[in-house]
Amino acid sequence: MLRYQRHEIEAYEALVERYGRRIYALAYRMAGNDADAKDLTQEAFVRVYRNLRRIDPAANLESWLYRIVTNLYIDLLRRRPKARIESLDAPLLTTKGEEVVREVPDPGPKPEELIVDAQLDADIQRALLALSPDLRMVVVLSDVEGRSYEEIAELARIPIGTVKSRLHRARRVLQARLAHLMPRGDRG
Amino acid sequence: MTHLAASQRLSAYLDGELADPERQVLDAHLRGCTVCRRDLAELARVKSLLSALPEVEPPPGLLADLREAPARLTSVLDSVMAWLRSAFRRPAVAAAAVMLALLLIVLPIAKGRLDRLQAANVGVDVYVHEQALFSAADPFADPAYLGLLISDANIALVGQRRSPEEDR
Repeated sequence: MLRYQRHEIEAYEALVERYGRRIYALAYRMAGNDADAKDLTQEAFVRVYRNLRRIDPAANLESWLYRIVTNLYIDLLRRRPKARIESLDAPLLTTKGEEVVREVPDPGPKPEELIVDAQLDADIQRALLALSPDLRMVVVLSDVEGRSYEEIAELARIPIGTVKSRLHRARRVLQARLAHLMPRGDRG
Repeated sequence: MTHLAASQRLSAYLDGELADPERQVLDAHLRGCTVCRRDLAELARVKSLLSALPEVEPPPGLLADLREAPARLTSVLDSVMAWLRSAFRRPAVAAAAVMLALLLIVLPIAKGRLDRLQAANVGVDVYVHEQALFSAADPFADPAYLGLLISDANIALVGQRRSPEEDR
């Protein structure tokens, strides 16, 4: 089946070196948690490894990898349709119907700044998860990774017009979801 | 430009992806429309929040795993396949394997058929003998006899003439 030459294995390792971080970061922003992000990244690279000889060095491998991650993520969602995010603030219902406040372990003292950042990050990530995978992909590529419309069109294999409309829809949803973080001065 | 058309172009305007005639029209609209100005500010805020997100670092060990995992995975598969292939390269081994497979499939089928043929030959005689002995020893335990008692007590014994009452 697969018996790679030394230089082919080295080529594979170079691909991991080159794209591993970025693919993990994208997978993390798509999936919203470390465990799924790791699985997606590993699965994506297993596919790279299996198709190593068929990969055209001139082709846009990044685009291929991004699509794999998105498709794998969509598969993941399909396999567990009932996945939901539990709010730590929401009271729990006991079997008798009483409400109990969740006890969350104190993460311990941290510098003030870091707490705000992590909180903000979690807020934004939750808002991102409310988007459909299509919209999320586009807005993550554009605003988190800072890519141009053309690059996104190529990565996601969609026309530029679609990039534009998806990005706009995604930002509108985020605007509504992150209303508490919006500038106040210009209201009304 | 209508308000709807303007509000749908705000995102592209924000990204500097709007070409010039459209851009100028939108500029003019923005000067007169507070709703669009506010939306633009909020969209800009969304964009800056997202771009301020810290880059997620992969957990330690993930990259090393990525480098090695597929190789390990395929090397197990590889060695099994290689062993199979090397075994089948020798014609004698291949022929023996095919024979063995045939035997395993053909033998049970043939045996099942033979058994059934034999059972059909012997079966009826043995059954009747055994049934007769069993029934004689303990008539009430014989389900056939019980059925006779319960369902139709009037049934005539074989070879005996029917009584005139029954014929009526």
